[in-house]
Amino acid sequence: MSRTLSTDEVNRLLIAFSDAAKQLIGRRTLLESHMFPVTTYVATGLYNLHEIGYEALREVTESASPEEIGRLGRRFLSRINQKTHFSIILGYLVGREQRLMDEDEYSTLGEDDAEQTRFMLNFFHKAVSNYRSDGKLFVADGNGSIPILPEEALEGLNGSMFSIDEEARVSLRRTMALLQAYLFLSNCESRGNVFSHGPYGKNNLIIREFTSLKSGPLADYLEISPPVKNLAVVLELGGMKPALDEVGTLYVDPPDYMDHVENIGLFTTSGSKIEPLPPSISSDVSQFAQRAQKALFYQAAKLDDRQKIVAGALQYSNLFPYYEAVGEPDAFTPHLGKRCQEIDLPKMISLRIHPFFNKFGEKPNLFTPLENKER
Amino acid sequence: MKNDGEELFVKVGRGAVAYFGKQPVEGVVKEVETLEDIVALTEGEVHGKVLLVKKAGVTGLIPILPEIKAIVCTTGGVGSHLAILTREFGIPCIVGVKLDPNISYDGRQVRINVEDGFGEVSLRKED
Repeated sequence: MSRTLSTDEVNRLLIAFSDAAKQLIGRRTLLESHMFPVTTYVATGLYNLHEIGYEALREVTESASPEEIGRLGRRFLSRINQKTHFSIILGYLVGREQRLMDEDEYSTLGEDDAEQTRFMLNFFHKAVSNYRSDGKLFVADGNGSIPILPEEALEGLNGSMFSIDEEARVSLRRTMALLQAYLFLSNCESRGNVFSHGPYGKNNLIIREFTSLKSGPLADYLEISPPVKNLAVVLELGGMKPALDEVGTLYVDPPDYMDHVENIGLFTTSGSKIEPLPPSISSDVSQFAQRAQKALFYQAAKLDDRQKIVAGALQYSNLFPYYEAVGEPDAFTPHLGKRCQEIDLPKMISLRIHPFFNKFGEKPNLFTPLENKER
Repeated sequence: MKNDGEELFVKVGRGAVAYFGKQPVEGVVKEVETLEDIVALTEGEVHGKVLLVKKAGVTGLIPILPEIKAIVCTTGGVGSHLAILTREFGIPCIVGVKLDPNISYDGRQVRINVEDGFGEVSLRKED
């Protein structure tokens, strides 16, 4: 599809995003943390994403088309997958809706809203259509699957998978748990740099990716380095039942699936090449994650409320993965836009929870449709 | 699951199962409210305890996760970060539990079980 979405198509996509968001939040709920003011920084971050997102994606698409950007995610440990197209565009739409709901002199979106919203959804449609192997746009449409790797990439795994015993299963399960704990800290309680996809093939392969082992707003405080820059864990699930959500969180029936996995693969990347890793890497990564957790916990605890909100907001509005993917890593640094700094951040420090987050139980459609002037 | 001694416990709440093993879990409740509560915990204060929390985020609990026996959280769902991480670690956890706010749980003996697919929280009757 090379044409721009019509207004009707945009509005149908807004409804689809609303349905997907409700399903995601229904499971996640509006959680809070003892360490970070999550709902406050989410709202701040999404105001920011609405402020800077359109210009940023316009800039990115000058280097690569949305279709090309979609295809760039169809590889192991692609940095684009640390955020997901769904979460970026959903975030933009929530930021837009927050502005629409604001009952102050800033509540109007301006004449550019229709064009910008259409652009963002057009980007999503074109990118994701060239990202998933099944052409679907949402994970729910694909029965809880995220098939993004082409056949030839999967064939490259043959010969690098190996069998593991019970001791190794226990160890690997613990390594993945410790890594996720550390990455939750490094990303201020947001789900960054952890992404699963699949399932693939008759052996029901699931690929668990830790797309960067030193990334996130708190990463700069870490003085130690990980043994590898990223890690993909390939698991043969066989007859077990995996399901993924829109942001790549893995659910398996049975939940103790690691007790039954017999063959795995461990990989990292070197440039664009995927490289197998020895089983001993699990122990090395585990030790790194434990030390990193400890260091970052006490660092995070020392931050004040404003610093935590800013860190989380930067994480939620970070578009660096797109810039890096199209070969322009120096063109973007995570930042808060002018309006976010001057208006939205002070407002959210005071307000704490934006009224948008009460909408989940009220309206059937979370997002205001565009006015159809084409009829 | 019915077990010997179940009559000593009274059900006080029900929630969604984030993770559960094969057997009911019993232990003494340790309630934490704030980050300061967690930072102030001394070694051994949470070891083997059942943690009672109100927040379904996970970053504030990371140092104590390896020590605890189980978690009861009064908010959250199966996709909350606490649910995700307790599944990864294999720590029994029930989320979204509605508890009577007029009862003091800290220091009490509690049992966690699964019935009809839901997590059940029961408090040992006081003598």
